[in-house]
Amino acid sequence: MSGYTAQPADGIALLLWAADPADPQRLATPFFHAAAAAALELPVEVYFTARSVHLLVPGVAAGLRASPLFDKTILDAMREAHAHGARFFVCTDALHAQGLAGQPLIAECSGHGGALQFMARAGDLRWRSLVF
Amino acid sequence: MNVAGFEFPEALFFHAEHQVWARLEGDGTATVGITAMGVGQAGEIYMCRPKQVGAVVGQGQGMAVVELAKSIVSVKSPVSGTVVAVNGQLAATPELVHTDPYGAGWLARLELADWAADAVALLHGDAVVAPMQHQAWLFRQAEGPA
Repeated sequence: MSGYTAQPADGIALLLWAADPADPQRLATPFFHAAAAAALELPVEVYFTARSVHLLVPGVAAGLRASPLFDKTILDAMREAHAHGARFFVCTDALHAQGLAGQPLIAECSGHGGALQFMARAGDLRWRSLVF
Repeated sequence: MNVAGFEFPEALFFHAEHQVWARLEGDGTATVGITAMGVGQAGEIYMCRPKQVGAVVGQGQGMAVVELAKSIVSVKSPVSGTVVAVNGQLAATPELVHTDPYGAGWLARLELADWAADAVALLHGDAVVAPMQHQAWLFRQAEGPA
């Protein structure tokens, strides 16, 4: 139970849909928010869908920066969120659509989770859901 | 006293790994905050949010979250207890943590749950020097060459 808010949600679910490795300036924000929510001791789940699943392929996020002025990579931002307790789930359908089925993924990925799992969270009034 | 360029007031108790301090108030409570070294190593603090009054915190557990430039950090409590007051000034002026870490930049005040047990993990007086020098060395190693 978070001690940071009077009536904490049971958790925060983030859906990465428009977060595209081709547009890295948008990629730090969802993980920064995931890190903040997890640091506030809220359970956090991040669902990777569409082209965001590429971020879970070893080497991809490590080669991306949100800004040339930042020394942190997107993988650093992902690892920070994960270190605070955020859990990462990947959409099986998106892996197939992106030709990544069967590829090894980074260790921070907890497993598969897609539309059904995310919408179960979105439909639960005790959870909050955000789409990036 | 000064260690590695940072002040460590002799009246306070410190947790070296977490870079936090506690000041016994003599009424069963302790005021807690971030050390000057911790603040100096963290860099600019954009926002600081302590736990709310009534929250129960264990030693080494999160008592506040700070938003830094490009990073989120959970500040661990040096003592166990129940939060009885938080520094409301930090919401509007988080820079107090930087400018006055042992004074106006305090984070919270806790009603102590088990000071005798907590004290075992805390540093006081001359015992502060070597562990804090080591922490400063670890930080320099992590930062790499300038």
